[in-house]
Amino acid sequence: MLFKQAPEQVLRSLKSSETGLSHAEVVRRLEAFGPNQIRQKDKKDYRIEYLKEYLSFFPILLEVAAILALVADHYQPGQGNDILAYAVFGAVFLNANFTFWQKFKADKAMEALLKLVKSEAKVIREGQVQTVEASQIVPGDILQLEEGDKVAADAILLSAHDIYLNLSVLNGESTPSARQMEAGEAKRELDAKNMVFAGSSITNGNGHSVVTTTGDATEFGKIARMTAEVVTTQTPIEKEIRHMTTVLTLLALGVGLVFFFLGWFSDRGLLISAIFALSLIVANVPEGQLPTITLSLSLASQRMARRQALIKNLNSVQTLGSATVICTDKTGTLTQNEITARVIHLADGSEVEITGNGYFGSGECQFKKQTSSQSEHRLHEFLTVAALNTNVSLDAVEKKVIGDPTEAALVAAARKCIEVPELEKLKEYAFSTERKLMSTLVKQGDESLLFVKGALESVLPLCDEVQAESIESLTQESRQQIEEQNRKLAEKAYRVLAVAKKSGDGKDQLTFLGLIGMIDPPRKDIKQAVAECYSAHIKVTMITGDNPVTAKAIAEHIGLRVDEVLTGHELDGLSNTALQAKLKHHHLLFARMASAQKLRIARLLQANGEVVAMTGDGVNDSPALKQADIGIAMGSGTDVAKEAADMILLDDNFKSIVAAVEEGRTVYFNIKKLTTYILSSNVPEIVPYVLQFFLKIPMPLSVIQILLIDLGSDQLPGLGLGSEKPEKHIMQRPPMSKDEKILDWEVFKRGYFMNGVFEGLAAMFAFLGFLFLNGWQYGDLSIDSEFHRQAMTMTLLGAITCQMANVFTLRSWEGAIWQLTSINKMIWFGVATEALFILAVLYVPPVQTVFNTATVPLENLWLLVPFPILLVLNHEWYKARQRTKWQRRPSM
Amino acid sequence: MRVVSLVNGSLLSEAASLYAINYARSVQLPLTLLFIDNGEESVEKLHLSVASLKELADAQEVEVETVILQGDMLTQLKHFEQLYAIDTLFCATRKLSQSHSFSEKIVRAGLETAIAVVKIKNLPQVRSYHRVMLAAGKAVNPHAYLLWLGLLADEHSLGKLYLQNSRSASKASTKSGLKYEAAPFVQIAKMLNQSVEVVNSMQPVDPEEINAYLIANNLDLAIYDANAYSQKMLNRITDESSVNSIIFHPWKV
Repeated sequence: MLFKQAPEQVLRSLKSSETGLSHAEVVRRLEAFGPNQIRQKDKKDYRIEYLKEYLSFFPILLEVAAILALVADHYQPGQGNDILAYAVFGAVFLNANFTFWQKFKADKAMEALLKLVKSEAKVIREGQVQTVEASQIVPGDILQLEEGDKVAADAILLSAHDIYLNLSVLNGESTPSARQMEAGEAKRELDAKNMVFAGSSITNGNGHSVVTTTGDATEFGKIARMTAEVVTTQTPIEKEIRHMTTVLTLLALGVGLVFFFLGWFSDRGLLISAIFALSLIVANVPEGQLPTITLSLSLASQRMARRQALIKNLNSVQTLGSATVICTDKTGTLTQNEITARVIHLADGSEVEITGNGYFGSGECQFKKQTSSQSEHRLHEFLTVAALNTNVSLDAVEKKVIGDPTEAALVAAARKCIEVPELEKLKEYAFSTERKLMSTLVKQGDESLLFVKGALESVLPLCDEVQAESIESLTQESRQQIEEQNRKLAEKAYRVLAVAKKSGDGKDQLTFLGLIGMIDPPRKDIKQAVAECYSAHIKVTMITGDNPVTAKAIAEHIGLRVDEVLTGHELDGLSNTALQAKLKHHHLLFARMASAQKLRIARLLQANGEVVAMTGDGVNDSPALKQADIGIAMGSGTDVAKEAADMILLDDNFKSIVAAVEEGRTVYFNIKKLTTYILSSNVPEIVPYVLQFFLKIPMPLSVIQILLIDLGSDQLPGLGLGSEKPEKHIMQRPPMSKDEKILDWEVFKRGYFMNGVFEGLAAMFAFLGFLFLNGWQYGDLSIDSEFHRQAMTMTLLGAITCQMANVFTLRSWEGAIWQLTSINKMIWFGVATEALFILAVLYVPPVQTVFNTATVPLENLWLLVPFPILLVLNHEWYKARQRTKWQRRPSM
Repeated sequence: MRVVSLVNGSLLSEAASLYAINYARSVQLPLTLLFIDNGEESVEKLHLSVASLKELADAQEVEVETVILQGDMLTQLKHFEQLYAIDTLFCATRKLSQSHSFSEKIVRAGLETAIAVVKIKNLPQVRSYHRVMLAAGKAVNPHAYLLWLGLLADEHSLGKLYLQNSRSASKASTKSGLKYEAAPFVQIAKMLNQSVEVVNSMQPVDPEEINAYLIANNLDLAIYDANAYSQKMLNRITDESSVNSIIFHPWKV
């Protein structure tokens, strides 16, 4: 095994040397082994992706319709079927381009984000230290390792000085692991103590190593590849869009077929019946719906990005709205991830409170209890010992911490309260999991002092004296008192460290100086965000690697409901059935959890019918992120987690998840609104055809005019509805059920049978009203072409003016129009565009030629006024009745 | 008969030769390290590499000779192959995808020998491999089997025989058919005290699936019978793999 060989042998095997590889050799190896990066999913072939936009069910239907129109034009030229065909082809083209462009833009935005997180590494090549992009590292490269570095590839150590490696991304273990020059008893690479691994980070020390494996072949790469195995399911919105498209298309086909056969059997001829059926199909298929939904989702994802939640997949936006459980990490998500020292219990009985949050914030020490005049001196000594017995560097300018966060908290506390003296460090005994303490030998004048800090259970047995008013022997009673203080601090969620020292007077035992309590403070406004989740009927489950006492204390502090705390060990002892039952009926808190256990929790929650949002940051979290209905990676997390997730939290903040849920719910209702809006305009498009079939009237609307509504005037206002801001009570209602369809009976009812009916009436009232006012007699089908075009223009305007009113009343799904406080600029812009459309079809000759319209005398335009008003009044009355019904319902 | 490994002093040719040494030892044939000097490679590097390989071969009691020829690579190779009987010719491939590579030219040159094209992804696993898979398609080629067993025998490793037949997936008898196909080969392995497992896949060949299988089963080396899969498929599988692979082209008489 390579890692068992001596360093010089390893170099020889890898054909490398202490001075590194030559540039030519790097190029050759890069060609052979590929770049040092985890293989992303196969890059999309955008040509194929573009073609797909023409080959799904919806566009194929329109394409067939257009071809049929061309066939019809071939047999019956001059009937306008060629224009219809080209218009439908144009609609398909626009639709495809628009949808493709949105997807393309979303992909590019993600690529740009991933480029931002590219890392670099220091290597020695041709004897020179160089900083290169991590992806350019090859086997045989000599990697320089320094404190704070993220390791770029798997490598064997050639030299090591106190190297500690954080391997949590690979094994979930957060305690740094010491490295040495010998492999130890290891049988596999991951256990070899003389190796460092890609994805891990150096928490302490420095050294050199030679790269053995890169990219997918690294241990990190193997886990990442395993992640790809978890099957991803269709998101609710994907299912919804499919469902909607199928229902509407089948409806269109059904209506078309019925009228085709009716026409055929009533001796209208095969071709005329086919063209008629075709027109009905075109009228019924909501051509503009897909691009409007896509754009609406895209706008929502942009709004979410402004709220620090980056959505990778547009379709995931709505899934967020259905989330019933949020499984969240504690550190960094609910808390600030800046451990802050809050309290010091000195051995003389004094109690000190430290103010100010974070590593770089201001603050001071305030005595809450001062037992002697020497207490200030004792505090100075305590903080000096605590701050100098660390191996951390705080860069106040770049606000950067290199090293352990707990140690950073100690240094920050000392800096707030005292002027930390500079003493020469003679030796450092690093923290180890076995000893659970760290000590540093320092020189003060001629004297050597040993500073010690660690868990109380490790430090106290080594002490025989205590620094009370003077140095006293540590009695059994005072030991018990100290242990009691330690327990009380731990119960309040403090991470407690004991501090002691030893003078160089030949003594073996230590002098106990006191205890310091640190806490990772909850994020600002987190309590409110948690409360918002509960009012939105969303369960919040904390899953943390931290200990149960701290986790529970934080949970209580931020208002998280906890019925039971389960540790990772206890979880392993529970059967799936038992855990599933607990998850269903209790508010659980999971502590001391390994990342791998998250996957099981996610699966069982899903088995309970929950829609799960899960946070994570490590490589080990990736399978759970993929399994969850919506995986949320932390912005500070690993690339693999980001790749597996559906959403990335740029600020790691729980509040941003809640904001994203709000946006998700808003999107759900916005799509409902815009679908209703689009369905409403189908009625005035269908009714004229149906009436013309049964009554002796001229054709009230041409197919090109139908397309003008669907792909022209409806688009911008529809988009406006898609970009509506969250409604007032959106976070006080339960999540949408997984089975709840956007296209439900409510949408059909409001679209087709309520607002649509008014629009149909408006169109026919305008058409027939105009004809009768201008002397037309019922049954006269041979009317003048100009007169016919004017009448058709009235039908068109009847539909458009109703849609202009419809868009305002649909702005709120449940609330009254006059209660809306926000202004939707997009809707106003859309309505203004519609007004321009109206003017254009009335007065611009080229537009009139294309759309078969004509100028209508102003005195006839009053025909357009009554029905939009009636539509709004009726819909508002309906919403008011619904509100009354809901208010009578028992509260949830 | 001899086992031949093409060397040029590079890391990859040395790695491929390590497999050749292990195989030569198992089949008890001498190993020839063949260098064809066309003026592009460093002879100094070659000597260092050959010395290192000889050291390793000596330790395994494999008889090694080094042959250096000058001139066009393919011409010299053909000439050499006409003079000496070769059991298997090992060569490393540098290109991620084999198309237009030198190894591809050798394969297409119509040499009367089996060719093992070695693609290295994980260097430490060349020296230490424990789990080796033979992807044999729907029938086991005896020579590919020999290579697999030869490489297994050296390290007392676990072997996985991966058989695949998607065409008859609907027929219940296929699975037993595949097992029947493997039975004599499993018996031979047992007689040689080799630990062998048979895997029957009824799914169509899917590079993602094969690679996921390699990782999930912690395999260190995969040998593919080039006659069982299309070249395009093999390129995709081995390019995307993080495991070392040997694409074995049996000699077709």
